[in-house]
Amino acid sequence: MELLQFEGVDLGYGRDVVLRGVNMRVGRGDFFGLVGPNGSGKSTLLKAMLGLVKSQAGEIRWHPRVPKRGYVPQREQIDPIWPMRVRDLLRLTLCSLRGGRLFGEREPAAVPATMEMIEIEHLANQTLDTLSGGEMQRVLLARALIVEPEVLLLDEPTAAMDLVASQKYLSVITRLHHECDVTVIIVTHDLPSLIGRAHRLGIIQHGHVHSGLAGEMLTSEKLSDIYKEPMMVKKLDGHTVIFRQAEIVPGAR
Amino acid sequence: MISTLLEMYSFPFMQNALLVGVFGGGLLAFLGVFVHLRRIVFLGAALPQIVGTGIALAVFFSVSLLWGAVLGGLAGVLTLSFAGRNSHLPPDGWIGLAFAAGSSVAIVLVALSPAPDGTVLRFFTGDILGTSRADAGWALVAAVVVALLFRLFWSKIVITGFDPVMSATLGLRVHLWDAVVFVSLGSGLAVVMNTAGGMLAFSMLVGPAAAGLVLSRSFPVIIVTAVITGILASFCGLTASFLFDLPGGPTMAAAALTPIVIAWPLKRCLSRRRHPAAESEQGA
Repeated sequence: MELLQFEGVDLGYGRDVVLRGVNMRVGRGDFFGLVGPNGSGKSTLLKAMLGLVKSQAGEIRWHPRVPKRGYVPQREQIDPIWPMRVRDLLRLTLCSLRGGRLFGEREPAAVPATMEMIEIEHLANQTLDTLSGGEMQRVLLARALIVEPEVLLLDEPTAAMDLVASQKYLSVITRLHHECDVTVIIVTHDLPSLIGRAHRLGIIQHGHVHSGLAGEMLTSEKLSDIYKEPMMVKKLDGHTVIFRQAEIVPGAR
Repeated sequence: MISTLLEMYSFPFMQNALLVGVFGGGLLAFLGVFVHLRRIVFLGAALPQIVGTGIALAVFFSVSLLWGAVLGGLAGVLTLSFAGRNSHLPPDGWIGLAFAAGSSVAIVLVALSPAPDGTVLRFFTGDILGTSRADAGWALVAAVVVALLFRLFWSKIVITGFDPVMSATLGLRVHLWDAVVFVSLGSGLAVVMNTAGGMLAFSMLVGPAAAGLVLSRSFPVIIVTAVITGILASFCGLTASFLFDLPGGPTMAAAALTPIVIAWPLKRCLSRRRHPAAESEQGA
């Protein structure tokens, strides 16, 4: 049985429908990439997976043994006014689930171990308001991982990151996926960043989700059909690249 | 000086006022930290108006003012914490409506009630010097209950306030812990407002906590600073009101706001000494 399955799901807020007839599935151990432009309903779909948005029609089914989920929100959702150091945030997350005090007790071993795994030990005593965008995103990843999730859901984690920071971050996610056997569901507007990483893709266009195996989705025909534009998928030096045909200027070198 | 203080606090009305100030002021200063961090200061301003409507209803029906205040506070927090969900009017809009309705309805109710004129004055400015030992007892009960609740469920209350979405994904009951904070807030305000008035209650809620937040970035230090500041402000304000023959409630309210007036420039000055280069860059 699939880990997560959407069958004819409509999603929206109030009477407004954002996504219609969503059919897709995520298997255990998958690296699932959900791609779409800003405002297309990616975050709504992710929130529906988390049970934070109810479906208007259809059915969202998790495996009967619902896996432990770790959620990495968009960093704008975090209010840095809260006076917390990075290690306090991780400890607080653990304490809220397992009990225990935040202050005056020995730090659980999972706190330094998780910081080491994400390579943020040097940020341990910094308060949240002193972190850069990239550092905050790593801290949020550590917070999601400290509960030892089986599924990691990430909402636009690389938004507003430069190319290098974004690639480094995605490499960490890929490493975790392989080493810790975590199922990854990642939302992004940057399709090329998922090439070579995602097994399955869901592409949102005009209120519909087109999903399938990455190999089936990343073809010129499929992408042209989804985007209603002539798209090309080519292999260059062993790397897959995607571009609009209209961008090829005849005669240009 | 000591003998003056001893003489001053030998009067039972001063002892009662000080006890309400210490227990109620400390409690509101503590809750104020969460009011600032959750960015619900406007809710903190509207709640006293709704608590006031509860007191006015109690005056109107000639029943216990404390119960009127507590019922008003609980009704206020429950209404305001759920208003705005699934609505096209944002939560701030509902809070604004409650603020306006609370203040106007309270005046109309008190005007219609058969209570003597002094009741109306007590209702708005409070009468901290007219408090009884029982009022102080209720303030102590509220402070102890809130302290216990927060001590027992600290991590759940803090993390659900900090990031409700993530907390919900972890299976934490966000609405329950929100309700604990809001009911604590409503009860604390009701107990203090019943004797000290809305002005003092709101000043105690926002003033000492603001000083704590400006002075430190450590949660325990912020809370200790806020509570001690709240208690000291009560003592200093009450003492000053007696010595200089000033109205008790407003003087204590002014004392509750004084620490932030001192703390903010002090913090700027200290950080300029520690990081002169950063400050000059900012200036440039």
